[in-house]
Formats: sequence, structure tokens, C-alpha cells
Amino acid sequence: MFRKVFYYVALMIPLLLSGDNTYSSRLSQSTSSQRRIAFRIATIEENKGERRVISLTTVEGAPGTDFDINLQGGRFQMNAHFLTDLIAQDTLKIRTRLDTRRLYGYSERSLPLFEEDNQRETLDMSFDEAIVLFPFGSNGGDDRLKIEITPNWSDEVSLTPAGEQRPLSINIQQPSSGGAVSVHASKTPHRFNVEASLLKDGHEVARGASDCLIEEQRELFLQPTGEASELIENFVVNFSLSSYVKTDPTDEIQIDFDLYRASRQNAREAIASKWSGIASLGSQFTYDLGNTPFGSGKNYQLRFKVNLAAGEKN
Amino acid sequence: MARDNDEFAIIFDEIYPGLCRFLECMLGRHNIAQDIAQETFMRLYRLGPDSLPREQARFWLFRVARNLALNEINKTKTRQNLWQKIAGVSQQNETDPADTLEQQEEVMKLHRLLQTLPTHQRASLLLREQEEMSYREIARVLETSESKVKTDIFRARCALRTKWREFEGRS
Amino acid sequence: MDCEQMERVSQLIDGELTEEEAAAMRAHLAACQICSQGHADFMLLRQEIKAHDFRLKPFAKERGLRDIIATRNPPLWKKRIGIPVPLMAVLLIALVAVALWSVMRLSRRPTGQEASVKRVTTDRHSQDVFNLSRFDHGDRVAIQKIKRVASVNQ
Repeated sequence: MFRKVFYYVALMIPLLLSGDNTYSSRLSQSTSSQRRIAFRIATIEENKGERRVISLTTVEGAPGTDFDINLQGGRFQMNAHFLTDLIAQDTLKIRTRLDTRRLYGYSERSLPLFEEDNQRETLDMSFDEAIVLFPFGSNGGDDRLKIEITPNWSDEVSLTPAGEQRPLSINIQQPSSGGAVSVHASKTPHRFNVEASLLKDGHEVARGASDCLIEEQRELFLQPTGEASELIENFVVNFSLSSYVKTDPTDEIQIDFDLYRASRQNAREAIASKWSGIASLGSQFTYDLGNTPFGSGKNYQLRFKVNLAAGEKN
Repeated sequence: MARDNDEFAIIFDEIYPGLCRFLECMLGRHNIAQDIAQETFMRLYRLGPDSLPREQARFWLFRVARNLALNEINKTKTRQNLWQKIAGVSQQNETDPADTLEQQEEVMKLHRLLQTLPTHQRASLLLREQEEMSYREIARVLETSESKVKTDIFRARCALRTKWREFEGRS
Repeated sequence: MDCEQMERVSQLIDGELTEEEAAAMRAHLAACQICSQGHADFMLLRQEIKAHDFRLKPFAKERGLRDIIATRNPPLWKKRIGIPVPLMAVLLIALVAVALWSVMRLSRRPTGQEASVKRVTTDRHSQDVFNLSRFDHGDRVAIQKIKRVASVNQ
């Protein structure tokens, strides 16, 4: 009998351990997804090797918190917009939009002329890395200005004891002189699910669905459904979502898309190019393709539906 | 101090081109106009940020610029005949090589005609036409009476009108 | 020959008449050829003067502004220092003494322990001017990812 008990225990131990690991890994994942992330934003002046901190701000919030860093001088403006997403346990996806505007001079009629620059960058980073932004380039010479953005796990969790989402916080430890540097933060949903369907005479003939991040370009292949056995072409929707807005009764988001017809040789023919619209979350909206070369003489429509992805909150 | 410099830069951006234009027409010369404009703004900067309300800076600047221009004119004044002096001015007048010949001639003609006016009439007329100041504002800049400004402008117009016709007739 | 109302033509085009006076003047212009011609000539003159523009060379304005603002913060070697000579001598001797002492101290420090940490100064009450233009050389904004060094982020 003791032997049986021993064998039972011997068999159970691995199962118990694996279950425990599974549970703990799930727990750690759920814990990490509930943990807040603090972004330390330091504006630093470097002069002949000496560093001087001009301003220091910490933005803290749940994963998916976005922030803007604005730099404003007499003749120069910069807006750096950061979209942050936790894509793995210790990996952040940072998408930036950098817009600068500089007074260049004056026209013959004494009107101001501005030089503008727009850049977009995407970086994947871990928590042992930092992002450094050089508003005036990195070849500064004796004087150089930079903004260091350092992520850290916060000790606070995202949910209050009552189970509500803790609001994001901006802590200005050191303001800049004259308000030259300012930081703003916001938390809006980043992950969405997009469904697209091709309709002929009101019946669905192809459909596709995909999760995506806001401001991320995605391709959606529409697969023929059972009713469309005669449909041999492949349809592809190339889309991106942007400009999420909280409104009443439902939130809205902008969708920009192109619709292609792809042949077997993978050559693409554009059916609809640079179309866009405003989607209310959870509602369907439809585009009539009758005016396109593909749809002329036929009753084709393209229908979309955008929802928050599973687990995403607004 | 950064805010003071920004404030000064705004005033500089707003007024500098107009001041250069005024001085060029007062002096009949291009490069010296820019030097005097620079000196005028330097004096404002040295006054300090709180010495002058922003709305008064424009009048102050034009007053100082006019005074500096008069100093310059008196320095180079000679006893030559009026038309000989004009001929000398027209030769000294630096023109932008990018301008067409026609544009250069038009500018020179205007400068020549303005140089025939007494300085007080010239200043009043330029402040009226270029800066669109009222008679009251011009009187404030030039530290004189409104009625004198009114008379100076009218006489300047009449004189230029006559000389313009003479010039057109001659050419 | 000029009309005695000609001076009021000049005031009319400058907007210096009252409503009634301006209306009366306009009526007079319709009837008086001399004043009407004068009005046209004055307007043409205005056009000629307004058409004249001062051609600024590129960046002349920016240079001018920079030169003016730089006068408030001249380089150290241009600044005047009004210190009596004996005091200047004492200061100079003290400076040399401090320099010699520092050199002697540095030469005594064991090797391999030089600080590699960049000191970060967070002077909350700094009176220094934070002027963005001194960093601006016209370059594009740049962004990089770097490995963190613990001491840098103190």
C-alpha cells in the first residue's frame, strides 16, 4: 500500500508542478498586465561633457499609455507623440511621430516662412533600454539637448482595490524654465478587431478579420465564403486605424484603406484607393463599390465592423 | 530673461523690415539703412525689457531711427546743387543684381524724388504712406504738432507731384 | 492753378476728415477737375511709395537679432572686470596655489579608480538662462535606442 501511495505521489508531483507553473505563469502574466509602467522623461543639456537636467517628468499608467513631449522656443517647436504598447512580458513597442517647425526667414512681403519636418519611427525596446530624442539632431557640438525616456515597472498595480482602473499620473519633479518643455499623457484603446466583408447583391461573398494596433498598417485577405464558389479572385484590404475619439453614444475611430484584387500571380489591381471613413465601434458601415471599375454594372459593397480587441478597455 | 529675449524677438520681427524700408527712403541708400536699423534696435535692447510698454515700442523705434537718419544726413551733407547731390545719391544707391533694370530705375527714381523733399516732409510722408500712421501718431513720433504733420504731408505730395511730372516729361 | 480745397483732398485720402467733411469733399471731387486730378495723382504717388519694398538679404534679420541679443551675454574674455590690481594679484596667487594643490592631490590618487560616472547636476534653483536657440544648428530631430547605464539615470 505504501508503494502505491508512493507511486501516486510520484506521478502527481510533475502534474502538480506543471499546473503550478502554468498557474504561476498565467498569474505573472496577469500580474504584469495589471502592473503599471512609469516613463521617466528627462530633458538634459550636455555641454562639453557636463550634463545638466533641465526638466524631469514621470508619466505612469497602465500598459498602452501614450504621451506627448512638446518643446517650444521662440522660433522652434517640436511635438513628439509616443504610442506605447506592451507586446511581450518585458518588451515595449514604441511608435513615435516627430513633428518640428522652425522659423526659417521672411518672404519679400515680410511674411514668416517656416521649415517643417515630420518623421515616424517604430522601436521595440526592453526595460533595460532607453530612448534618446535629440530635438536638434545628435551632432550638437559643444552644446547639445536631448530627452531621455526610460521605462520602468511601477510598484503600483493598474487596478484599485475596488477593481477600477487607476488613472494615469503625470508627476513633474522638475519643471523647465519658462515652460519650454511640457509633457501630456493620455490612455486610449490601442488594440482593435476589424472585420471586413465583400457583399454582392447584399450577400456576403468574402470576408476576413484581424486584430490590429492603432496606427498600424495591416493587410486583410478576404476569403471567399461558401456562397461564392464562382469567385476565384482574392481580395485584399490594406488598412490602418487612427484618431480614436470618445463620443456619445459609442466611441469612434477613423479607418483608412485600400482595396485590391490580387491575381494568382500576385499582381494587384486597385479597386478603391485611399478611401477613409469614421467607424462607430460595434456598428457596421458600408461602402458602395458601384463607382469603381470593378463594381460598375454590379451591386458590390464593402462592409466593415470595428470593435475593441478582446481584453481591451476604453 | 529668456522670455524677455522672446518678447524682443517678436518686436524685432514685426518692425525691422518696415524700419529698414523707412530708413532707406529717408537716406536714399540701402546698406546704411540696415546699419541704422540695427543700431536703433540695439538701443531698445539696452533700455531693458520693462522700460517701454510694447505698444509704444514702435513709435519709439521710428523716432530714434529718424533722429539717427538725420545725423547721418547732416554728416554727409554738402553745399552742392540739389540736383548734383541727387545724381551722386543715385550713383551710390546699391541695387540688388537680381532686380531687373526697370525695377532698379523705378527704385532710383523714387529715392531721387524723395531726396528732393525737406527731411521733415519726407519723414511725415513716409510714416503716413509706408506705416499707415495717423497724423496724431506721426506727430508723436516726430515730436511735433498734428497741424504741422498735416501741412508737411500735403506739401510733400504737391512737391513730389510736380517733380514727378517734370521727371516724366524729361525722360 | 490749384483749388483751395486741395489740402482737404490730402486729408481725405488719409482718412483724417469726419464723415460729413468726407462726404462734402467727395461731392466736391465730382465737380472739381483740379481736385479730382490731384486726388488721382496723390493716390498714384501712394501706390509708388507702397510698392517700394526693402530687400533683406537671407538670414540678415536672424543675424541682426542674434548680434543684438549676444551683447547681453558676451563671452567671458570680452567682459570687463573692474578689480583693483593688488586684489587681482592676490586672487591670481590663490588661483595658482589651488591649481598646484589639485595637481598634487590628483597625482597621489591610485590608478584605476578614475570616476567614469558623469555627474548629473539637478540644480532646482538655477539662474541660468534656458535658451533653445543655442542648440539649434538646423539639423533634423533624431531618435535612438540605447542600453541603459545605471549611473547615468541618477
